[in-house]
Amino acid sequence: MCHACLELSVRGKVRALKTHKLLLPGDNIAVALSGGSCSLTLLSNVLPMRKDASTPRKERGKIEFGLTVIHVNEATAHGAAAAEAEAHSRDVVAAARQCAAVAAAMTTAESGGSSTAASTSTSMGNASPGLDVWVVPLRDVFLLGDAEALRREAVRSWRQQQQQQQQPAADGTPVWGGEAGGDSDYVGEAAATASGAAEREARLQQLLQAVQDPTGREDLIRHLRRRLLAAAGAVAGATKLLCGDSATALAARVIAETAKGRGFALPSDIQLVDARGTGAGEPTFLYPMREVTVKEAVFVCRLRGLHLAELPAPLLLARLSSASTGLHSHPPRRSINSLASAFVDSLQANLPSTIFTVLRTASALRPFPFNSPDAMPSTFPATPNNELKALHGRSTEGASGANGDGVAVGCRPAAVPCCVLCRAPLSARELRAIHAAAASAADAGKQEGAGSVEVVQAEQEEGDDEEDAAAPFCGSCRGQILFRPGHHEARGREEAGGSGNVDGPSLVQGLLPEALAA
Amino acid sequence: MLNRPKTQEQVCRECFFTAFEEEVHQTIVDNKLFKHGERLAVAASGGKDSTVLAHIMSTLNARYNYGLDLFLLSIDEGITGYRDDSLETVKRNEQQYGIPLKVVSYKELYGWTMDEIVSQIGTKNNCTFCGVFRRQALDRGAVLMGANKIATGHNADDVAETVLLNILRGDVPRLGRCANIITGEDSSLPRVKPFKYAYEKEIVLYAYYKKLDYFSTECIYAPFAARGFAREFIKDLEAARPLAIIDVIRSAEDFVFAAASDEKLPQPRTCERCGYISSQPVCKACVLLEGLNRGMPRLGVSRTRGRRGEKAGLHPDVGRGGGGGSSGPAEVASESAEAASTMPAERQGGGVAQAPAGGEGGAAPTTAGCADDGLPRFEAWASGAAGAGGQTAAEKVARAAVRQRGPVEIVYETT
Repeated sequence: MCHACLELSVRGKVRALKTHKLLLPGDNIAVALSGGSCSLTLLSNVLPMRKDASTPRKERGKIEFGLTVIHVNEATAHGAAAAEAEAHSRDVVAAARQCAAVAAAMTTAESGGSSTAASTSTSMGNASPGLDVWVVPLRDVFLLGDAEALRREAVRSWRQQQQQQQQPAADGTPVWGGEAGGDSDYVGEAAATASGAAEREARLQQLLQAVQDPTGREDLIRHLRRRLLAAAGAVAGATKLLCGDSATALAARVIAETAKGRGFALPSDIQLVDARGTGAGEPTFLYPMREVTVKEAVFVCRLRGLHLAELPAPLLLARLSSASTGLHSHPPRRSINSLASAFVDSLQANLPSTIFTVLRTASALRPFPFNSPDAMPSTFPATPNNELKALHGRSTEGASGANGDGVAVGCRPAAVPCCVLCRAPLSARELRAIHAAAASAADAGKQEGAGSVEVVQAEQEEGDDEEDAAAPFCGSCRGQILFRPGHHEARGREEAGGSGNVDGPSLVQGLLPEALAA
Repeated sequence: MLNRPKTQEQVCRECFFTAFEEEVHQTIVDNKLFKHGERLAVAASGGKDSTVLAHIMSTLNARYNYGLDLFLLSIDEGITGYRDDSLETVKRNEQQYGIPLKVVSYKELYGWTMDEIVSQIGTKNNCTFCGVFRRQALDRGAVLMGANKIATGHNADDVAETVLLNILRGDVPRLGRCANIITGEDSSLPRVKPFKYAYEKEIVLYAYYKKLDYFSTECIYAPFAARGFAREFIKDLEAARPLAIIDVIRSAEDFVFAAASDEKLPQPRTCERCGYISSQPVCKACVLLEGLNRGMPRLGVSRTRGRRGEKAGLHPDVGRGGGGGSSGPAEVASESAEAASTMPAERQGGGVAQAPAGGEGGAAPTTAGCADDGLPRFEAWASGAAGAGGQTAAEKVARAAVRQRGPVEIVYETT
């Protein structure tokens, strides 16, 4: 495919958002930027769709919408040091800015230079008008319940970026769209937030270390990232959040999720629209890059001269494996995600239709109610509460209603009970198990009996298991994140070692951010 | 002491045997696989899965009083160096477990052995032929022996590989069915997979420690199979997380397909030529045989949707033999009254195959448009088969011929 056609086809796919009325004038959207090829391509295709605020007249094919770019920095979760994480986030911001510059240049080139001088001059500066880049470190997931704290963090990081820029801005005015920077005691706050950040970072590391299974750890990072994105998007006032998940990533995910026993929830994660969190005020997630492969995205970036800002993968793998506590004497196991990814890549190399065939098969699965564009709330977030709730199921009440019938009181029957951690819809089988465990835990009583060590340990494990089995987690989260897989094996080996196995099952659950594991 | 592959538990040998047997028993009970008094054909190839299956079925049948009438059913595909050896093993199994044995061969049923087929079509799609033929062969053998059910030794690894393969191939209808433990429960001959949750490694361990007699070489054509990729992946998965294999199967069980695809799913009908169950007018085995006998190796394997969107199956040129259709019927009708598939075939000239509908071909040469290959009966069949050629008058005559003749019935012998 020649360059121009490739660019056109990728651009067309993103623009399809507009044609399908998923992106409307007056929208306030956020774009999730990881620094990789796909999210950069997404950003560089979204930007030209945006009407330049500098001219009041209508421009053909452009929509007026507010845009925030959110980067969730998870470098430390993968084992990078703090300095590296900082450097990575700077890289990402720089990449975003370059993207904007390139997009602006393309726009002026396209419009034949007849657009106003103002737009060209501002594109010369590094900061393009109206492009907010928020860098949110993963540790802020512990701030999840607290929108104000999140906002403060965002402001702080924005100010840091401004300071780091060190360039005389073309105009001295703050260039972001309207977030009130009303913290007068910024300096004093800086000290407080720094220690808060350190504490959160420590908590994050502790949480990740507690997860034994490498796949579970990767998935946990992904779930936390998603929750954080949603919360940050909500704070930014966005109703829609665009993610750059590519077709390649999706195909690998289909295989990986199948291998984790998540066949029921699989269709929820691979559609274009995901309106799961809108009941709680979170933006709708959109995945316009789901038909673009990584290879195509990389080419587009190259063509447009965009530099990627990615953490080097081998580094990640090495850090991850050394970071895991060496309880098992054999070499660290590969994660299922990386296995699936390698599998899909190797097949695709020989048979380029593999990715799309896999996706086509997965599309035959029935999506959930919240995957339909009808489930998206209307553009303006100021819709009445009950309408939002009625539109879709997953709400925070669902967390406490562990049995799934706690949800949907007062909601439409389309409510879907979901796992508290990963938001995957729970299958009938999982719901039955949760019900049953809740029922039996209620009348199991306390089993701390006397007796031989093994017996007590076994019973306590059972007791813990039952309590936790009643918690509203999906089978996969329970298996790979919360509880140690190979449970029996560990028990067998460590009875001699005598390490505190009793805490095992609920340890991770206790470490999760409060807002998640209510 | 050994380490159980499925759960990584350390168990002693006896406990392992017990655990394994109990799990299979639980599978049988939970899924209500058997009813008292059924006659069960245990598909036996002489390999580890089917040997262990035979052993376990006879053990559990006695221990838990399933009340099943067991016998072994074995298929001879005609693969030298592989199948002939494993058949010896099955014959020994017959002695060891005291279960009667019935052997059905491709040569009898279809007139072709796998070796001959591979020499005709190469090694790329031979697994398709073998699989399709074997399925029919199993059914016919079971019917001959008066069985109500067939039990196959498909283990968890097999099912997981199949799920993966179907995802990769985009075969949605199969994907919905392949994880079922009972297939064809509405038909007269359902098939069950008691080992659906049993790991291949555990089956091997069981066979090894129980010192069971089995044949352990893989099919000589196996390295060329597409299943190999899926198999490798499953092995890697198992290394990463042993329970992942069961997870794949559970995912497939949990898949919920969008309603729209149900309408497009084919409904079962019967083959016009041989009466076997089929989703198309002519069953796959008949189509494949057609291809073999006419020297068209891609028939039934790759799409032959030609110009004007004719149906896949027979080559458009074949339709011109319409005139020969009318003399065909009389002959065929008489043949159809004959008994079923176990009549030995006699090859004629260019290899007229023993079509599974039974009947011997004293084939009167019928005039046909493109018949210069000495396969007159096939012209009659071919022109009569649905979907041949374009919308020509010849085809319409041919279709009429089919309707007059009606589907050829196979008369089953029941002992």
